[in-house]
Amino acid sequence: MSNQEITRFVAQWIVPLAPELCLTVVALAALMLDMMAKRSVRQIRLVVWVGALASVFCSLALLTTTLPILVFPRQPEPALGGAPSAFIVDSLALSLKALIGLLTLLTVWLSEDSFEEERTNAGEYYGLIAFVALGMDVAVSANEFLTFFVAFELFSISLYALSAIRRYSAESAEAGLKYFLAGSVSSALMLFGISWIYGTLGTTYFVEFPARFGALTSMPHALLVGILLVLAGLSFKMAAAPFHMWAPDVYDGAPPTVVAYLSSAPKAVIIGFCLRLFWTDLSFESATLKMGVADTWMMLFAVLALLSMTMGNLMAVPQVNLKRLLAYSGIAQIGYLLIGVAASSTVTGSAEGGGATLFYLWVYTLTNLTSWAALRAALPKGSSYQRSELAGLAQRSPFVAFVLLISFLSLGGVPPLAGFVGKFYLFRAIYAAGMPWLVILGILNSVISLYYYFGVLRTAYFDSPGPDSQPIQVPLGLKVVLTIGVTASLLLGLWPGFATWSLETAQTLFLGR
Amino acid sequence: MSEMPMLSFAVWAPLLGAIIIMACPPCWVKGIQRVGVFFASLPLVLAIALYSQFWQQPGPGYRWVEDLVWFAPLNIHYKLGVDGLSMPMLLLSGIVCCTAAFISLQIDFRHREYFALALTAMTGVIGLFATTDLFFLILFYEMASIPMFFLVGIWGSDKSGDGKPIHRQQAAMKLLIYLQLGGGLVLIGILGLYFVAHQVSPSHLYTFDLEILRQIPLPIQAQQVLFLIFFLGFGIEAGLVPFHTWLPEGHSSAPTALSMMLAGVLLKMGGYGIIRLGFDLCPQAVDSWMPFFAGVAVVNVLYGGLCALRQSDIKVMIAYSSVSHMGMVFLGLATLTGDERNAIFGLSGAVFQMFSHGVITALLFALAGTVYHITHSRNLKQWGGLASRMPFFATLFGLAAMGSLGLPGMTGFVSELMVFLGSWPERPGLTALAICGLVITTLYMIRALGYGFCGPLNPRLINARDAYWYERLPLMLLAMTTLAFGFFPVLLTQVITPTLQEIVRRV
Repeated sequence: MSNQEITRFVAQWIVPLAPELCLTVVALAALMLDMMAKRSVRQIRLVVWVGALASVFCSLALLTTTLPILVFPRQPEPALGGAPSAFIVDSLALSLKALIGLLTLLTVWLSEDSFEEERTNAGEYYGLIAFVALGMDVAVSANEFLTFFVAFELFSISLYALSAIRRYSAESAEAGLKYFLAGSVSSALMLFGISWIYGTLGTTYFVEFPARFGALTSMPHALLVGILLVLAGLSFKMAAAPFHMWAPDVYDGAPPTVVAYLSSAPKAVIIGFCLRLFWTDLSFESATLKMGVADTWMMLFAVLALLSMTMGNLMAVPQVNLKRLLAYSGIAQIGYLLIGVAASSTVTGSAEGGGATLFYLWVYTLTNLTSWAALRAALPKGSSYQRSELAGLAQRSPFVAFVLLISFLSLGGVPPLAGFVGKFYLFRAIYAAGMPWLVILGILNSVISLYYYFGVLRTAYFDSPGPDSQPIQVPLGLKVVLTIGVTASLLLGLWPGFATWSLETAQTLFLGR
Repeated sequence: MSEMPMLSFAVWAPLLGAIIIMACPPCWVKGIQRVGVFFASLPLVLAIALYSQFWQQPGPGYRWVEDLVWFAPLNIHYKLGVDGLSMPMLLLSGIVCCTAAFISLQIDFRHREYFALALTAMTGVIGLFATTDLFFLILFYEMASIPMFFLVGIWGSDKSGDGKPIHRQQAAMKLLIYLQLGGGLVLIGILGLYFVAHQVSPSHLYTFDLEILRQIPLPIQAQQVLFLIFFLGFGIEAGLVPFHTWLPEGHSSAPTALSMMLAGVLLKMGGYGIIRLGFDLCPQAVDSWMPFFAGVAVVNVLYGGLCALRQSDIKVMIAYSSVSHMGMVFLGLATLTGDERNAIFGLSGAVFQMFSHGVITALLFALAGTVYHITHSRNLKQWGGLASRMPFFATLFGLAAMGSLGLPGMTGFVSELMVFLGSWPERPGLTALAICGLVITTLYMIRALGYGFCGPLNPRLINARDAYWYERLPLMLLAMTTLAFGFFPVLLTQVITPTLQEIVRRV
């Protein structure tokens, strides 16, 4: 091969896959290092950390690049033999990959010395984290059902194993088993749904859906069943009500650092995938059937959003276990994100909903991870995460208490923090999309949520520390994670440039439909 | 001078102070206190400068407008400006924040967090009165109300003794939920306004700008719905019965300086919001809702007064008196259903009452809190004869009580007279009932004065001290303000009248 051909090959096949390649390399490297040298915990951490950082950089570089790289296109490309691509690299995928990389990076930082198996089984732990990130990166680029499903299983199975990584602890094993059972059922449902869709439309490529649908001559009930089954599978994974039952139990048993990861990153993937699937390729209109389905999806997501918000918030109110409280708060937060998905509807034809959703994805995932990090810093190893253990946190460590304060205020949607701005954009978008009732219920829900967020802050700030409590020492790595989290909460709220960027990303996505 | 962003300085100075304080180590108590008082006093200096300029050249319209685009896709602007309605409120918040900061020197633990939170709340309070963009209005609203939760919960005091005990942590939670509910309603209303305004006149971009929004004639049904949402949302904050229950608990549990801010300024945010968003933006809805709310206003006056009459806890009593006095504000607002002459009386009376009640109640709370700090009791029955040990406090308490019950020569008299003058031709029956409220006020104020400061000295209080300089200074400032504006009401009316006339003409 000539030099030119090599350059072309690299530009066409290697460069667009750079984030995935980084993660693949470090995942394998982590496993190898574990095999070769026993005392290599620090190297393994460092390698996975560097890999995650590299994947963030590659994603951002690809996003901003002006080089005429032939990225994998959405529509069939004659140069590639006329077949549609199962894997695409567009700005939505790249921005989500940057987010996933960032979350992975922070999780690796956060995990240092958090529990015993992190040290004894470092290769497995960090290797699995890298595999989760890899699966997610592929999933957000998937433009075909089977590609998505394989990637979905890659990250799901790795997460099951991560939940059970403390194999001698009954809680962790139980959490892993529960997560595995619930997750398998959801995967099975999704696969079943995919088969119904394939049976109706005869393809698994998203870009071919509108044309195939247009050619149908009768009302495709089977298609709707299939799509509902897929949506059920997705809802399971992102813990949206009424498919949320596993979340509190799993969060309660799994190691907190794993929960920090599994409660943030997969949600970004699924929400991104919903935006892509439902609003670019499934929101078709059929001239022969004289019907469109977009408003059906809109209603579906609106109902899911309402159920999640209400269930999550009401169930979180009586919780005294912080893990379960955050689990229910996560269920409520996914409801807000689903509001954004509903608002991205093609009926109203605006990218605002999508922009608001992407913005809130960044806000929520980062804030959620920061809250877990703050709890990890505030509570001793092996703590049972009871709310009362936080008593007097403000005096024992003002910094950690401040981080917890900012994160919870942001999650509760208090201005001028990121959570408020994000929710404001979401509510504005859904109002513009013609569902003002969802705004009213959403705002009332936010008021309810303040009760339990402030309940925790009340313990941390109002109560005095117990007689035998020690000042808290925060390790450097954790301190950096907390600082990044707080900065993000403040900056995303006060500096509007980021929201503009989300909006532009959403616009490029919806340009294609 | 006019080129300088004076309003921005006034709004952000306290927050800057809060940031500086957070950077100090917690043990620098003196430094933290000095920085706190300094940055809390800056807004007052600026407000006085602006107020005197405004007074010399009164007129309608916004002054010292600052306009920066903040988020272009949604057309959100960082926009500040004051007119005749917000100017007195700005002066009031300047006075109350400055005096509250002096009184805060009594705080004796966790100084750093206290001053940081209190200064943040001050930025919120001042910003709310200075902004003319509704997005920033919500932002400042929350900045003012969230720190209150921590201030009440950590530095507050519990009520025990006679009657139902009040626990400060629960009071803080109640205050938070009520204020957030109000804020949530206002947010719903603002979003509604934002969309409806665009539907009515698509030539305007989507906007949160008050000045543009008030030029757009909204359909009458939309006005009616929005008016109700704004009235209830801000009414919760202003202590509208039956949404007032957070008020006595929150105000009485709060630390002294915060009680002053809650009663002096936060309640006024509610009244200001009702006038600004309810009356000014939805003028045609006034006739359909205000006759009903006039009745609620009288319930406020009488119910608040009767509750105050029963209290043995001095702070709870003052808090209930706030409920009663805010009823006068609502009654004044209700006169907008009548003809123009009465309406201008009633509305000026309502604004005057907000100013007057802000100053007098801040004074009462400052006195009650300081005496509580010295005697460790809030129970009137355990005070007794304090005038012999603390003549300064007793004199000022008498002065404030007289101001509160409407003695001529003080602001309370002017404002209530104006409300009654405006209200009588419209609703003689309700006004007569409200005047009975004055008698009730007299009863409980005299009762408090008698129990607390007159009679033989309670032997337990033999060592009680009188005021220190840092207590005298803010108390004198508040007392002087109420006397000055009482003797020369024109100091206030000249500023507010042009703007209020405009609002009345729109209704």
